[in-house]
Amino acid sequence: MKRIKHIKFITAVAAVSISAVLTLYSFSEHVRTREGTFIRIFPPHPVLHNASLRIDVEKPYIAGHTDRSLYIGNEVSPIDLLQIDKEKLMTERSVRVSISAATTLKHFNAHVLVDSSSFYFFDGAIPYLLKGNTDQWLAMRQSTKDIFFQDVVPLGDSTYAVKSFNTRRRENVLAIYNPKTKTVKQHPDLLQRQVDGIFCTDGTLHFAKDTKKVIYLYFYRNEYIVADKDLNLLYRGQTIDTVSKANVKTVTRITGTNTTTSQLAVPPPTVNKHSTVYKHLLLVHSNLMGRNELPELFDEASVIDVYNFLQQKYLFSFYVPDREGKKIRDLKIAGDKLYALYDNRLDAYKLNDIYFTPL
Amino acid sequence: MHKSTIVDAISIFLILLFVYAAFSKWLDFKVFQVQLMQSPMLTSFAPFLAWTVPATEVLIAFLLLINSVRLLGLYAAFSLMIMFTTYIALILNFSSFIPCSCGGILERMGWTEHLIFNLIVTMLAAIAIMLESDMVDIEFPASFKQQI
Repeated sequence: MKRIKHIKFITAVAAVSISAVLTLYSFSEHVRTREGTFIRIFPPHPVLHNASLRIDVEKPYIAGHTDRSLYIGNEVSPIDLLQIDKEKLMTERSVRVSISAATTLKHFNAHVLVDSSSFYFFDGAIPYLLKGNTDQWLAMRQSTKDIFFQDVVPLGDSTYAVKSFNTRRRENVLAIYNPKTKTVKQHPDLLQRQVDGIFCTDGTLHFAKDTKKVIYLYFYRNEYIVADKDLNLLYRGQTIDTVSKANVKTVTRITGTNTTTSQLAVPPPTVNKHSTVYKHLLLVHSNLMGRNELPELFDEASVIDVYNFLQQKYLFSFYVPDREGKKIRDLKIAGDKLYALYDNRLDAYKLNDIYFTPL
Repeated sequence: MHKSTIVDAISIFLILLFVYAAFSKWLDFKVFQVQLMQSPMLTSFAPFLAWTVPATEVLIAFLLLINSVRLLGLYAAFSLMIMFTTYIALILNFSSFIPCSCGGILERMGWTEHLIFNLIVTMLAAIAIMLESDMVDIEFPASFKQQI
Protein backbone atom coordinates (compact mmCIF):
# COMPACT_ATOMS: atom_id res chain seq x y z
CA MET A 1 0.00 0.00 0.00
CA LYS A 2 2.73 2.38 1.07
CA ARG A 3 4.63 1.62 -2.09
CA ILE A 4 1.67 2.34 -4.36
CA LYS A 5 1.19 5.62 -2.58
CA HIS A 6 4.81 6.50 -3.28
CA ILE A 7 4.64 5.43 -6.91
CA LYS A 8 1.73 7.81 -7.31
CA PHE A 9 3.62 10.52 -5.50
CA ILE A 10 6.76 9.98 -7.62
CA THR A 11 4.65 10.20 -10.76
CA ALA A 12 3.07 13.41 -9.51
CA VAL A 13 6.49 14.92 -8.71
CA ALA A 14 7.74 13.93 -12.18
CA ALA A 15 4.68 15.46 -13.83
CA VAL A 16 5.02 18.70 -11.89
CA SER A 17 8.76 18.88 -12.66
CA ILE A 18 8.24 18.29 -16.38
CA SER A 19 5.47 20.85 -16.63
CA ALA A 20 7.57 23.38 -14.70
CA VAL A 21 10.32 23.10 -17.32
CA LEU A 22 7.82 23.17 -20.20
CA THR A 23 6.29 26.32 -18.75
CA LEU A 24 9.76 27.85 -18.40
CA TYR A 25 10.48 26.95 -22.01
CA SER A 26 7.39 28.57 -23.46
CA PHE A 27 7.77 31.52 -21.12
CA SER A 28 11.39 32.06 -22.17
CA GLU A 29 10.43 32.04 -25.85
CA HIS A 30 7.73 34.56 -25.03
CA VAL A 31 10.10 36.80 -23.06
CA ARG A 32 12.80 36.67 -25.70
CA THR A 33 10.62 37.45 -28.68
CA ARG A 34 8.52 40.11 -26.97
CA GLU A 35 9.39 43.59 -28.16
CA GLY A 36 11.60 45.67 -25.93
CA THR A 37 13.14 42.88 -23.89
CA PHE A 38 16.50 43.15 -25.64
CA ILE A 39 17.77 39.62 -25.11
CA ARG A 40 20.51 38.35 -27.39
CA ILE A 41 20.98 34.72 -28.27
CA PHE A 42 24.46 33.30 -28.55
CA PRO A 43 24.74 30.02 -30.43
CA PRO A 44 28.02 28.11 -30.09
CA HIS A 45 30.80 29.26 -32.41
CA PRO A 46 29.06 30.91 -35.39
CA VAL A 47 32.53 32.14 -36.41
CA LEU A 48 35.96 30.66 -35.70
CA HIS A 49 39.15 32.69 -35.59
CA ASN A 50 41.24 31.79 -38.58
CA ALA A 51 44.16 34.21 -39.01
CA SER A 52 45.47 37.66 -38.09
CA LEU A 53 47.49 40.25 -39.95
CA ARG A 54 49.25 43.42 -38.83
CA ILE A 55 48.08 46.51 -40.68
CA ASP A 56 50.50 49.43 -40.72
CA VAL A 57 48.37 52.25 -42.05
CA GLU A 58 46.63 55.03 -40.19
CA LYS A 59 42.85 55.13 -39.96
CA PRO A 60 42.25 52.03 -42.07
CA TYR A 61 38.92 50.85 -43.44
CA ILE A 62 37.86 47.90 -45.58
CA ALA A 63 37.49 49.21 -49.13
CA GLY A 64 36.05 45.99 -50.52
CA HIS A 65 37.13 42.82 -52.23
CA THR A 66 37.63 40.97 -55.48
CA ASP A 67 37.53 37.20 -55.88
CA ARG A 68 41.08 36.81 -54.61
CA SER A 69 41.92 39.90 -52.61
CA LEU A 70 40.68 42.13 -49.86
CA TYR A 71 41.52 45.85 -50.00
CA ILE A 72 42.29 48.06 -47.05
CA GLY A 73 42.01 51.79 -47.65
CA ASN A 74 42.98 54.57 -45.28
CA GLU A 75 41.70 58.04 -44.59
CA VAL A 76 45.12 59.70 -44.41
CA SER A 77 46.31 58.85 -47.90
CA PRO A 78 43.10 57.96 -49.73
CA ILE A 79 44.69 56.89 -53.02
CA ASP A 80 46.74 54.12 -51.39
CA LEU A 81 45.38 50.67 -50.78
CA LEU A 82 46.75 47.48 -49.31
CA GLN A 83 45.98 44.38 -51.31
CA ILE A 84 45.58 41.34 -49.08
CA ASP A 85 45.35 37.73 -50.13
CA LYS A 86 41.99 36.58 -48.80
CA GLU A 87 42.94 32.94 -48.32
CA LYS A 88 46.40 33.28 -46.77
CA LEU A 89 45.66 36.64 -45.13
CA MET A 90 48.97 38.09 -46.29
CA THR A 91 49.73 41.54 -47.66
CA GLU A 92 50.43 41.05 -51.36
CA ARG A 93 51.27 44.59 -52.39
CA SER A 94 50.37 48.25 -52.18
CA VAL A 95 48.11 49.68 -54.81
CA ARG A 96 47.97 53.34 -55.77
CA VAL A 97 44.91 54.69 -57.51
CA SER A 98 45.83 56.91 -60.43
CA ILE A 99 43.50 59.61 -61.59
CA SER A 100 42.90 60.05 -65.30
CA ALA A 101 44.68 63.00 -66.90
CA ALA A 102 43.30 66.52 -66.91
CA THR A 103 41.78 66.10 -63.49
CA THR A 104 43.38 67.37 -60.35
CA LEU A 105 41.41 66.45 -57.30
CA LYS A 106 41.56 67.59 -53.74
CA HIS A 107 40.70 65.26 -50.92
CA PHE A 108 38.44 66.15 -48.11
CA ASN A 109 36.77 62.89 -47.26
CA ALA A 110 37.91 60.66 -50.12
CA HIS A 111 37.31 56.93 -49.99
CA VAL A 112 37.79 53.93 -52.25
CA LEU A 113 35.23 51.22 -52.73
CA VAL A 114 36.22 47.96 -54.41
CA ASP A 115 33.47 45.79 -55.82
CA SER A 116 34.77 42.72 -57.70
CA SER A 117 36.42 43.98 -60.89
CA SER A 118 35.39 47.63 -60.47
CA PHE A 119 36.55 50.23 -58.04
CA TYR A 120 35.22 53.67 -57.16
CA PHE A 121 37.10 56.68 -55.90
CA PHE A 122 34.89 59.37 -54.50
CA ASP A 123 34.63 62.37 -52.27
CA GLY A 124 31.10 63.57 -51.73
CA ALA A 125 32.22 66.80 -50.06
CA ILE A 126 34.23 68.15 -53.05
CA PRO A 127 32.33 66.44 -54.91
CA TYR A 128 33.46 63.79 -57.37
CA LEU A 129 32.76 60.16 -58.19
CA LEU A 130 35.27 58.23 -60.27
CA LYS A 131 35.25 54.67 -61.52
CA GLY A 132 37.86 52.27 -62.85
CA ASN A 133 38.76 48.63 -63.03
CA THR A 134 41.00 46.71 -60.66
CA ASP A 135 43.42 45.64 -63.42
CA GLN A 136 44.64 49.15 -64.07
CA TRP A 137 43.55 51.13 -61.03
CA LEU A 138 42.91 54.14 -63.23
CA ALA A 139 39.98 56.19 -61.97
CA MET A 140 37.92 58.14 -64.47
CA ARG A 141 35.19 60.69 -64.01
CA GLN A 142 31.71 59.58 -64.85
CA SER A 143 30.38 63.08 -65.17
CA THR A 144 31.87 66.53 -65.62
CA LYS A 145 30.15 67.73 -62.49
CA ASP A 146 28.97 65.50 -59.67
CA ILE A 147 26.43 66.13 -56.95
CA PHE A 148 27.24 66.52 -53.26
CA PHE A 149 26.67 63.40 -51.21
CA GLN A 150 27.61 61.99 -47.83
CA ASP A 151 27.53 58.31 -48.65
CA VAL A 152 27.35 56.30 -51.85
CA VAL A 153 26.91 52.68 -52.92
CA PRO A 154 27.22 51.61 -56.55
CA LEU A 155 24.25 49.59 -57.76
CA GLY A 156 26.22 48.03 -60.61
CA ASP A 157 24.33 49.45 -63.57
CA SER A 158 26.03 52.90 -63.61
CA THR A 159 23.51 54.14 -61.06
CA TYR A 160 24.29 54.85 -57.44
CA ALA A 161 22.31 55.04 -54.24
CA VAL A 162 23.44 58.13 -52.37
CA LYS A 163 22.70 59.81 -49.09
CA SER A 164 22.45 63.46 -49.94
CA PHE A 165 21.03 66.69 -48.57
CA ASN A 166 17.72 68.18 -49.56
CA THR A 167 18.28 71.92 -49.28
CA ARG A 168 14.64 72.87 -49.45
CA ARG A 169 13.59 70.51 -46.67
CA ARG A 170 16.92 70.96 -44.91
CA GLU A 171 17.28 67.28 -44.21
CA ASN A 172 19.10 64.17 -45.35
CA VAL A 173 17.57 62.27 -48.21
CA LEU A 174 18.28 59.05 -50.05
CA ALA A 175 18.46 59.31 -53.81
CA ILE A 176 19.34 57.45 -56.97
CA TYR A 177 22.11 59.20 -58.85
CA ASN A 178 23.11 58.55 -62.42
CA PRO A 179 26.25 60.52 -63.32
CA LYS A 180 26.05 59.59 -67.00
CA THR A 181 22.61 61.12 -67.46
CA LYS A 182 23.17 63.65 -64.65
CA THR A 183 19.88 62.71 -63.05
CA VAL A 184 19.08 62.58 -59.38
CA LYS A 185 15.88 61.07 -58.10
CA GLN A 186 15.24 61.82 -54.46
CA HIS A 187 13.14 59.60 -52.21
CA PRO A 188 12.34 61.81 -49.23
CA ASP A 189 9.91 59.30 -47.74
CA LEU A 190 12.64 56.85 -46.77
CA LEU A 191 14.51 58.71 -44.04
CA GLN A 192 12.20 59.80 -41.27
CA ARG A 193 13.00 62.96 -39.36
CA GLN A 194 12.82 62.64 -35.58
CA VAL A 195 14.74 65.68 -34.37
CA ASP A 196 16.69 67.78 -36.85
CA GLY A 197 16.52 65.66 -40.01
CA ILE A 198 20.30 65.67 -40.31
CA PHE A 199 21.99 64.03 -37.38
CA CYS A 200 18.95 62.06 -36.27
CA THR A 201 18.71 60.35 -39.66
CA ASP A 202 22.42 59.66 -39.95
CA GLY A 203 23.40 56.10 -40.73
CA THR A 204 25.09 53.69 -43.10
CA LEU A 205 24.08 52.84 -46.64
CA HIS A 206 24.55 49.32 -48.01
CA PHE A 207 23.76 47.49 -51.19
CA ALA A 208 23.13 43.75 -50.83
CA LYS A 209 24.20 42.52 -54.24
CA ASP A 210 22.79 38.98 -54.09
CA THR A 211 19.29 40.09 -53.21
CA LYS A 212 19.50 43.49 -54.97
CA LYS A 213 18.32 45.43 -51.95
CA VAL A 214 19.44 48.79 -50.64
CA ILE A 215 19.74 48.80 -46.85
CA TYR A 216 19.99 51.88 -44.69
CA LEU A 217 20.83 51.43 -41.02
CA TYR A 218 20.37 54.39 -38.65
CA PHE A 219 23.20 55.13 -36.25
CA TYR A 220 21.10 56.50 -33.43
CA ARG A 221 17.91 54.46 -33.40
CA ASN A 222 16.96 50.79 -33.63
CA GLU A 223 15.81 50.76 -37.21
CA TYR A 224 16.91 49.78 -40.69
CA ILE A 225 15.26 50.43 -44.02
CA VAL A 226 15.07 47.91 -46.84
CA ALA A 227 14.38 49.27 -50.33
CA ASP A 228 14.64 47.90 -53.84
CA LYS A 229 17.18 49.09 -56.44
CA ASP A 230 14.97 52.06 -57.33
CA LEU A 231 14.67 53.03 -53.67
CA ASN A 232 11.06 51.99 -53.32
CA LEU A 233 10.47 51.20 -49.67
CA LEU A 234 10.01 47.49 -49.00
CA TYR A 235 10.11 47.38 -45.22
CA ARG A 236 11.45 48.93 -42.06
CA GLY A 237 13.07 46.49 -39.67
CA GLN A 238 13.95 46.85 -36.02
CA THR A 239 17.26 46.10 -34.38
CA ILE A 240 16.88 44.35 -31.04
CA ASP A 241 17.80 47.20 -28.71
CA THR A 242 15.17 49.53 -27.31
CA VAL A 243 16.32 52.92 -28.63
CA SER A 244 13.44 53.78 -30.94
CA LYS A 245 14.04 57.52 -30.86
CA ALA A 246 17.37 59.10 -31.78
CA ASN A 247 18.68 60.92 -28.74
CA VAL A 248 20.11 63.81 -30.72
CA LYS A 249 20.42 67.30 -29.30
CA THR A 250 21.49 70.09 -31.60
CA VAL A 251 22.31 73.75 -31.26
CA THR A 252 21.83 76.29 -34.04
CA ARG A 253 24.63 78.75 -34.54
CA ILE A 254 24.42 81.94 -36.55
CA THR A 255 27.36 81.80 -38.92
CA GLY A 256 26.58 84.74 -41.16
CA THR A 257 23.97 87.39 -41.71
CA ASN A 258 21.58 84.98 -43.32
CA THR A 259 23.08 81.59 -42.56
CA THR A 260 22.84 79.33 -39.61
CA THR A 261 24.41 75.94 -39.04
CA SER A 262 23.14 73.17 -36.90
CA GLN A 263 25.64 71.36 -34.72
CA LEU A 264 25.47 68.55 -32.27
CA ALA A 265 25.21 69.80 -28.70
CA VAL A 266 26.44 66.51 -27.28
CA PRO A 267 27.60 63.41 -29.12
CA PRO A 268 24.50 61.23 -29.35
CA PRO A 269 24.65 57.65 -28.05
CA THR A 270 25.31 55.48 -31.07
CA VAL A 271 23.17 52.38 -31.30
CA ASN A 272 24.51 50.76 -34.45
CA LYS A 273 28.19 51.56 -34.90
CA HIS A 274 29.38 49.43 -37.81
CA SER A 275 27.52 47.17 -40.15
CA THR A 276 27.77 45.11 -43.29
CA VAL A 277 25.48 43.06 -45.49
CA TYR A 278 25.98 39.56 -46.81
CA LYS A 279 23.44 37.70 -48.94
CA HIS A 280 20.17 38.15 -47.01
CA LEU A 281 21.91 39.03 -43.76
CA LEU A 282 22.58 42.33 -42.08
CA LEU A 283 25.40 42.26 -39.52
CA VAL A 284 25.47 45.06 -36.99
CA HIS A 285 28.11 45.95 -34.46
CA SER A 286 25.88 47.26 -31.73
CA ASN A 287 27.00 49.59 -28.99
CA LEU A 288 24.39 48.50 -26.46
CA MET A 289 24.51 45.62 -23.99
CA GLY A 290 21.60 43.21 -23.89
CA ARG A 291 19.77 42.36 -20.68
CA ASN A 292 21.13 38.84 -20.47
CA GLU A 293 24.76 39.72 -21.14
CA LEU A 294 27.72 39.80 -18.78
CA PRO A 295 29.36 43.25 -18.59
CA GLU A 296 32.80 41.60 -18.31
CA LEU A 297 32.31 39.95 -21.68
CA PHE A 298 30.57 42.86 -23.35
CA ASP A 299 33.32 45.31 -22.36
CA GLU A 300 36.02 43.17 -23.93
CA ALA A 301 34.39 42.46 -27.27
CA SER A 302 32.37 43.89 -30.10
CA VAL A 303 28.94 42.30 -30.22
CA ILE A 304 27.68 41.52 -33.72
CA ASP A 305 23.93 41.04 -34.21
CA VAL A 306 22.80 39.14 -37.27
CA TYR A 307 19.46 39.90 -38.93
CA ASN A 308 17.67 38.41 -41.88
CA PHE A 309 16.63 41.66 -43.56
CA LEU A 310 14.27 39.92 -45.98
CA GLN A 311 12.21 38.57 -43.09
CA GLN A 312 13.05 41.49 -40.75
CA LYS A 313 14.03 38.95 -38.18
CA TYR A 314 16.75 38.91 -35.57
CA LEU A 315 18.70 35.64 -35.83
CA PHE A 316 21.58 35.56 -33.34
CA SER A 317 24.63 37.37 -32.02
CA PHE A 318 28.28 36.66 -31.46
CA TYR A 319 31.31 38.37 -29.96
CA VAL A 320 34.40 39.51 -31.79
CA PRO A 321 37.10 40.01 -29.13
CA ASP A 322 38.85 43.34 -28.60
CA ARG A 323 42.47 43.54 -29.72
CA GLU A 324 44.92 45.63 -27.71
CA GLY A 325 41.94 47.00 -25.83
CA LYS A 326 40.31 48.29 -29.01
CA LYS A 327 36.97 47.44 -30.55
CA ILE A 328 36.56 46.77 -34.26
CA ARG A 329 36.52 49.74 -36.63
CA ASP A 330 35.11 47.96 -39.65
CA LEU A 331 33.77 44.55 -40.67
CA LYS A 332 33.04 42.76 -43.91
CA ILE A 333 32.10 39.31 -45.14
CA ALA A 334 33.88 38.11 -48.27
CA GLY A 335 33.66 34.54 -49.47
CA ASP A 336 33.42 32.23 -46.49
CA LYS A 337 35.08 34.58 -44.02
CA LEU A 338 34.30 37.50 -41.81
CA TYR A 339 37.00 40.18 -41.65
CA ALA A 340 37.26 42.34 -38.55
CA LEU A 341 39.44 45.43 -38.84
CA TYR A 342 41.12 47.16 -35.88
CA ASP A 343 43.40 50.21 -35.73
CA ASN A 344 46.41 48.16 -36.79
CA ARG A 345 45.26 44.62 -37.19
CA LEU A 346 42.98 42.54 -39.38
CA ASP A 347 41.40 39.30 -38.15
CA ALA A 348 39.77 36.68 -40.34
CA TYR A 349 37.03 34.42 -39.00
CA LYS A 350 35.70 31.36 -40.74
CA LEU A 351 31.90 31.39 -41.00
CA ASN A 352 30.06 28.39 -39.66
CA ASP A 353 27.84 27.26 -42.55
CA ILE A 354 25.00 26.19 -40.28
CA TYR A 355 24.33 29.80 -39.36
CA PHE A 356 25.30 31.69 -42.49
CA THR A 357 23.74 29.75 -45.37
CA PRO A 358 20.35 30.90 -46.63
CA LEU A 359 17.42 29.67 -44.62
CA MET B 1 22.03 -6.54 0.14
CA HIS B 2 20.14 -4.75 2.83
CA LYS B 3 17.70 -2.13 1.65
CA SER B 4 19.20 0.63 3.78
CA THR B 5 22.66 -0.11 2.36
CA ILE B 6 21.36 0.47 -1.17
CA VAL B 7 19.63 3.68 -0.11
CA ASP B 8 22.86 4.80 1.61
CA ALA B 9 24.91 4.00 -1.47
CA ILE B 10 22.56 5.86 -3.81
CA SER B 11 22.37 8.81 -1.42
CA ILE B 12 26.15 9.04 -1.17
CA PHE B 13 26.40 8.88 -4.94
CA LEU B 14 23.80 11.66 -5.32
CA ILE B 15 25.50 13.79 -2.64
CA LEU B 16 28.85 13.48 -4.43
CA LEU B 17 27.23 14.23 -7.78
CA PHE B 18 25.39 17.33 -6.57
CA VAL B 19 28.28 18.70 -4.53
CA TYR B 20 30.58 18.13 -7.47
CA ALA B 21 28.10 19.77 -9.85
CA ALA B 22 27.67 22.79 -7.58
CA PHE B 23 31.37 23.32 -6.93
CA SER B 24 32.42 22.87 -10.53
CA LYS B 25 29.97 25.69 -11.31
CA TRP B 26 31.24 27.92 -8.52
CA LEU B 27 34.90 27.29 -9.29
CA ASP B 28 34.37 28.38 -12.85
CA PHE B 29 31.48 30.68 -12.19
CA LYS B 30 32.10 32.93 -15.17
CA VAL B 31 32.10 29.96 -17.53
CA PHE B 32 28.83 28.78 -16.01
CA GLN B 33 27.31 32.25 -16.42
CA VAL B 34 28.39 32.28 -20.06
CA GLN B 35 26.91 28.80 -20.61
CA LEU B 36 23.59 29.95 -19.19
CA MET B 37 23.73 33.07 -21.34
CA GLN B 38 24.32 30.88 -24.39
CA SER B 39 21.39 28.60 -23.69
CA PRO B 40 18.53 29.70 -25.94
CA MET B 41 16.04 28.57 -23.33
CA LEU B 42 17.63 29.82 -20.12
CA THR B 43 19.26 33.02 -21.30
CA SER B 44 16.35 35.24 -20.22
CA PHE B 45 16.76 34.01 -16.65
CA ALA B 46 20.53 33.55 -16.69
CA PRO B 47 21.47 35.93 -13.82
CA PHE B 48 18.86 34.36 -11.51
CA LEU B 49 19.69 30.74 -12.38
CA ALA B 50 23.44 31.25 -12.08
CA TRP B 51 23.02 31.42 -8.29
CA THR B 52 19.94 29.34 -7.63
CA VAL B 53 21.00 26.21 -9.52
CA PRO B 54 24.24 25.49 -7.59
CA ALA B 55 22.60 26.61 -4.32
CA THR B 56 19.76 24.13 -4.89
CA GLU B 57 22.25 21.38 -5.61
CA VAL B 58 24.07 21.98 -2.31
CA LEU B 59 20.79 22.20 -0.43
CA ILE B 60 19.70 18.83 -1.81
CA ALA B 61 23.06 17.34 -0.84
CA PHE B 62 22.44 18.54 2.74
CA LEU B 63 18.94 17.06 2.79
CA LEU B 64 20.36 13.73 1.66
CA LEU B 65 23.01 13.88 4.36
CA ILE B 66 20.54 14.22 7.22
CA ASN B 67 18.66 10.98 7.97
CA SER B 68 15.40 12.54 9.08
CA VAL B 69 14.90 14.48 5.84
CA ARG B 70 16.56 12.06 3.46
CA LEU B 71 13.29 11.06 1.78
CA LEU B 72 12.56 14.74 1.11
CA GLY B 73 16.09 15.05 -0.28
CA LEU B 74 15.56 12.05 -2.55
CA TYR B 75 12.33 13.56 -3.87
CA ALA B 76 14.10 16.87 -4.45
CA ALA B 77 16.98 15.13 -6.23
CA PHE B 78 14.50 13.18 -8.33
CA SER B 79 12.60 16.35 -9.21
CA LEU B 80 15.77 18.25 -10.14
CA MET B 81 16.99 15.38 -12.31
CA ILE B 82 13.61 15.21 -14.06
CA MET B 83 13.76 18.95 -14.72
CA PHE B 84 17.31 18.74 -16.02
CA THR B 85 16.41 15.77 -18.23
CA THR B 86 13.36 17.58 -19.60
CA TYR B 87 15.57 20.57 -20.32
CA ILE B 88 18.03 18.41 -22.27
CA ALA B 89 15.21 16.73 -24.18
CA LEU B 90 13.78 20.14 -25.12
CA ILE B 91 17.20 21.46 -26.14
CA LEU B 92 17.85 18.41 -28.30
CA ASN B 93 14.49 18.43 -30.01
CA PHE B 94 13.00 21.90 -30.07
CA SER B 95 15.82 24.38 -29.82
CA SER B 96 17.02 26.41 -32.81
CA PHE B 97 20.54 25.36 -31.87
CA ILE B 98 22.20 23.18 -29.24
CA PRO B 99 24.46 25.05 -26.82
CA CYS B 100 27.83 23.88 -25.51
CA SER B 101 27.37 21.41 -22.67
CA CYS B 102 28.12 21.16 -18.95
CA GLY B 103 31.31 21.65 -17.01
CA GLY B 104 33.62 19.19 -15.28
CA ILE B 105 33.75 15.52 -16.19
CA LEU B 106 30.40 15.74 -17.90
CA GLU B 107 31.89 18.19 -20.38
CA ARG B 108 33.19 15.30 -22.46
CA MET B 109 29.72 13.81 -22.70
CA GLY B 110 27.58 14.73 -25.65
CA TRP B 111 24.01 15.77 -25.01
CA THR B 112 22.66 12.33 -25.89
CA GLU B 113 25.04 10.59 -23.50
CA HIS B 114 24.08 13.19 -20.95
CA LEU B 115 20.43 12.36 -21.47
CA ILE B 116 21.13 8.66 -20.81
CA PHE B 117 23.26 9.46 -17.75
CA ASN B 118 20.47 11.65 -16.41
CA LEU B 119 17.85 8.96 -16.92
CA ILE B 120 20.00 6.47 -14.99
CA VAL B 121 20.52 8.91 -12.11
CA THR B 122 16.78 9.68 -12.12
CA MET B 123 16.00 5.96 -11.95
CA LEU B 124 18.45 5.51 -9.06
CA ALA B 125 16.75 8.32 -7.16
CA ALA B 126 13.35 6.71 -7.80
CA ILE B 127 14.62 3.32 -6.60
CA ALA B 128 16.03 4.91 -3.45
CA ILE B 129 12.69 6.63 -2.82
CA MET B 130 10.85 3.31 -3.10
CA LEU B 131 13.24 1.53 -0.75
CA GLU B 132 13.39 4.42 1.71
CA SER B 133 9.61 4.72 1.77
CA ASP B 134 9.36 1.04 2.76
CA MET B 135 11.29 1.96 5.88
CA VAL B 136 9.84 5.33 6.77
CA ASP B 137 6.34 6.53 6.35
CA ILE B 138 5.80 10.13 5.51
CA GLU B 139 2.64 12.05 6.05
CA PHE B 140 1.45 13.52 2.79
CA PRO B 141 -0.33 16.83 2.80
CA ALA B 142 -4.09 16.39 2.99
CA SER B 143 -4.66 18.03 -0.37
CA PHE B 144 -2.41 15.51 -2.05
CA LYS B 145 -4.18 12.59 -0.34
CA GLN B 146 -7.43 13.73 -1.88
CA GLN B 147 -5.86 13.70 -5.31
CA ILE B 148 -4.85 10.05 -4.94
